[in-house]
Amino acid sequence: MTSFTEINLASTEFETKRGEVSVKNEKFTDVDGIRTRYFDEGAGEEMVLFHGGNFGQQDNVDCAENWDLNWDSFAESFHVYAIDKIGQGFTDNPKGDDYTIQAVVRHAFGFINAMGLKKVHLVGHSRGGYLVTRLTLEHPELVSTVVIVDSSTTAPGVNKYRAKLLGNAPRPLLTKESIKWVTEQFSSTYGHITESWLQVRERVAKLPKNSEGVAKMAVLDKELFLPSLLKQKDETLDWIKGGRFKTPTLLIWGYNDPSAVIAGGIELFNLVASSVPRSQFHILNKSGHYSYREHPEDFVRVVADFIQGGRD
Amino acid sequence: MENPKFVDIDGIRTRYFEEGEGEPLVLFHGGNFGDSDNVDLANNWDRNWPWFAKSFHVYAPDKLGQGFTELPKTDDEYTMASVILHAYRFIQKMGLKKVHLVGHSRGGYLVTRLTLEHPELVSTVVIVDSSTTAPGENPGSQNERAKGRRAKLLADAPKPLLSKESIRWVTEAFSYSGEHVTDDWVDIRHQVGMLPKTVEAVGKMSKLFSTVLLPHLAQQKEETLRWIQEGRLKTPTLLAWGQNDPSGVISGGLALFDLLSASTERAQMHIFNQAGHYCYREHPKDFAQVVTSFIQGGSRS
Repeated sequence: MTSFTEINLASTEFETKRGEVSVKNEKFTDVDGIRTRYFDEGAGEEMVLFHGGNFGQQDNVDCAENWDLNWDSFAESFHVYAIDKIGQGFTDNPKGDDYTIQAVVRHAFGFINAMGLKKVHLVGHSRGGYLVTRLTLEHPELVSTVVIVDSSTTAPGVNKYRAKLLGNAPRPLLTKESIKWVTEQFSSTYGHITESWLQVRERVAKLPKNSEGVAKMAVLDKELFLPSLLKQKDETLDWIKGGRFKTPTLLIWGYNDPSAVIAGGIELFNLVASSVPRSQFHILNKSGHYSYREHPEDFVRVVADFIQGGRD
Repeated sequence: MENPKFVDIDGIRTRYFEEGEGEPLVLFHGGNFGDSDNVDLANNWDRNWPWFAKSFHVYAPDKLGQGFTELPKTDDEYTMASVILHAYRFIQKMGLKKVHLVGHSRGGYLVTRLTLEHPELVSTVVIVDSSTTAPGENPGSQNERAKGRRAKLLADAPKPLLSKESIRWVTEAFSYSGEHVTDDWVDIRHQVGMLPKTVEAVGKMSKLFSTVLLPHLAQQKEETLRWIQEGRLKTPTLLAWGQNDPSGVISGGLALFDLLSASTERAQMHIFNQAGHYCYREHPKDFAQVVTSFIQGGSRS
């Protein structure tokens, strides 16, 4: 593993409630000049988790702590990594105006290389689900299995639901109150919306680099980021249709996801199933967009079963 | 699967297997007595058996009139209700107070109905590739699609039916890949197909299928789906389905999940690609793991 700096921040030590685990011991590494925060724990085959969202979201914050309810269980079976994606969490923003999907995928690939990983299991949620899909298509030799979770970004078509869902988010946006409200809109049950998770997301929202990302994206989202994503997504789906995707793939979806609706998941699975021999689809009832948080134990077991089951 | 046992269930000599230690898990195969073109029995589960026996005290009976279990005593008893009663009595006879149920195809309907009738008995229920249970596949007035699909699929089955060759052909037609259709499995099903009691049942069902079994099933299924709609199914439920099932098609599975999800809090669905009707045989280890995790996840939370 390459060098990293361990940061001693008292504020990263969140109180751990009963039944709640926290992602401990954050680390930082340099990925092509981008100071990148990540966590790693456990021993075994390497697994990398990618959260959703993207840099400069005006109404929500996603970061590696999204996985805190799954963390200890994954670490029992795998050497698990979770990063803050480029421009998100405590990771630096893209350089200049490079607010593109290409920059996101390149950074994730750079991180895996920086860690010296040769063969990984990938898990990605929402926009992170698209990231892992694209990464797998670009670097199939690197990926043993890929898990795509509640990702309308990957599913055929456009997300017609998110904007409406969050239209009435409490102002000002990105306060703890507003983040909580947004997360509740995305969810079927609220038990997973813990105080410690809200606190770290609020801290991220208050970082100067986050405000800068939001300001940049106010312009670049429509001019640069979305066009880059939609164009690349067309190509990605064409590649899948063309049979280029062979890596064992598991889709996991919240049945009640109000944003990445289940119909999109079914459509994506039909597409994936037509070209990926080992592909499976798991649907969780009473679960919204953050299905891995609403059913953390079931989620981990389904993923671990899929990864370990490939062996017979 | 070795060492079959026999037990008397209300005068019906019933064959079953059991193995392992732990919470009881009972597996119910598909089909029904007197199938003219196919044979199902406890051995259907032979590829999952060792996996299940690691974690559970697992049971698999031959359902009423199927495999090496005796036929119903009277013509009036060629009904799904008799099959379900027999299954219930089997569980009682084994002295089981709380069970996990897994049922495939017609056996999926059996476990669903059993759970609704005796919720106190059932911890979790797993329904596998069961168009018999799925809405819109009602064997009454709405049965044409489902019946037509199966009939079309098996229309060219080699004659004579129930020969080894024909059973193999039928099973392959139900499957994504024929790899799971082992000689052992074909042999024992052919052996059952040649039993005098099977011949007798096939003869009986050539008439009773449409005069007794289907009308009763249609009526009971309507009630079963209504009960689910009314929110009576509270038992944790997993649907497991083959994406490529040519008979119990995936759209039916998804429709069933839609129905369940409104009232069954802990409901999950797992879909296997490159799997036909016998998805538990085409992906035996994955199937056993998904079921085991669902059961263990439920009892832990």
